[in-house]
Amino acid sequence: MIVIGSSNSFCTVDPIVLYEEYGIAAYDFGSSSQPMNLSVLYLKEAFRRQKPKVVALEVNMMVGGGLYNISEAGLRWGLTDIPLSIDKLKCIYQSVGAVNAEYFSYVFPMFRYHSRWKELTKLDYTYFGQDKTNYTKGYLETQSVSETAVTLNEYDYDGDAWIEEENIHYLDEIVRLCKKNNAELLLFKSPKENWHRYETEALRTLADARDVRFVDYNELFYNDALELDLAADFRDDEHLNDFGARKVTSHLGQYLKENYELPDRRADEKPNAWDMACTYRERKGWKAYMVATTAKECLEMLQEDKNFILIVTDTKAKKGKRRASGCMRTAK
Amino acid sequence: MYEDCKVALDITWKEPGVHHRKIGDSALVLARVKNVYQVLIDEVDHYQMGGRWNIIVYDKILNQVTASLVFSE
Repeated sequence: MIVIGSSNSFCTVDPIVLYEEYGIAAYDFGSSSQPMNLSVLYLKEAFRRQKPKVVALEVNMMVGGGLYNISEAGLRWGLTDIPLSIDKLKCIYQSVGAVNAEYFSYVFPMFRYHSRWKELTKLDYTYFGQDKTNYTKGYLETQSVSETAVTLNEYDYDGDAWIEEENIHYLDEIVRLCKKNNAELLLFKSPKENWHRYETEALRTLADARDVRFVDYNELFYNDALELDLAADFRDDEHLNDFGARKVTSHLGQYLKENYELPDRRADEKPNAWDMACTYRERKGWKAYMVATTAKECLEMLQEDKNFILIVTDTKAKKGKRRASGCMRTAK
Repeated sequence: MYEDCKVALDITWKEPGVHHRKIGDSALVLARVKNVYQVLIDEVDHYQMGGRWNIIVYDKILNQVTASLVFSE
């Protein structure tokens, strides 16, 4: 399964949870503030290399302003790493609206950044994307919690949904792409502040007209079909954290199992990339040795795991009398 | 330094010096410069002053440091 959309997608669907609980092999292929034309581009890129059975589109960017309200940062995040293709050029043109210096700065990002050579710092070489293991499968991990409790009780406010025609056009293109590639499209909305029933209903009308399923987690929360702790499950007012994402992903996994024929990849004969990702996450998490009170206690907890290398320093060591309080074996 | 649950390297710094070694996919540099000690892994210093014991935990699966701990006993 491929998940596309804005940050609301990759802060909500945790592929490792989908795999651990349901054996579904999923990947979050989104980008920050991803406008709908970039969602089309991302889907085309995905279909060039993969054959997903299900495409899940997070619909946050369907509502609100059109392409010209998208920030430069959102476009750069979304476009820079995508390989050059006719589709990418079309997408840049749709976003910029002209073939000009700005357009070419997206085609050749060097034009945008070449003057930065005087301000380069170590951070430019050690940014978070440096870890190419990508064990989160596109999901953006965090256990940070929003400083103030999130408010979802404005869901029933009156209003009118603002959906631009161009976004409907891109939705139709996504529908066509999925049909052409024999993938089933699922629309979903992650829980967030300032999402309302009238938006749910507008999206459902669009989905029904295209014979596409739509799941809205704001609606499910409002109807008590989804449990969320508003004081603990969000990283900010628009995005879930790991605790909230686990709850929504579990619910989504159950929905996927009931409505789509997705294989249980845990039954694969050989370990796959998701098995490796699970191992990574398990090893990256908090461990008891991290709060040991003495060096000896810490080493005793670590000594049986051959995948650890330990560098132990002792400022009062005397030759032949250290070896970390004698709890490790010496080399033969 | 312990690897495969055994002592793989044992150094006492009586004089300033430096020792290079590969661990996992990373470069380890142990150094004493005057009275300053360093444990550099991929150019990041993980040595912490203030306690008798430092334990730096490098995970060979993740190819990175997962903890850098300091203990007084």
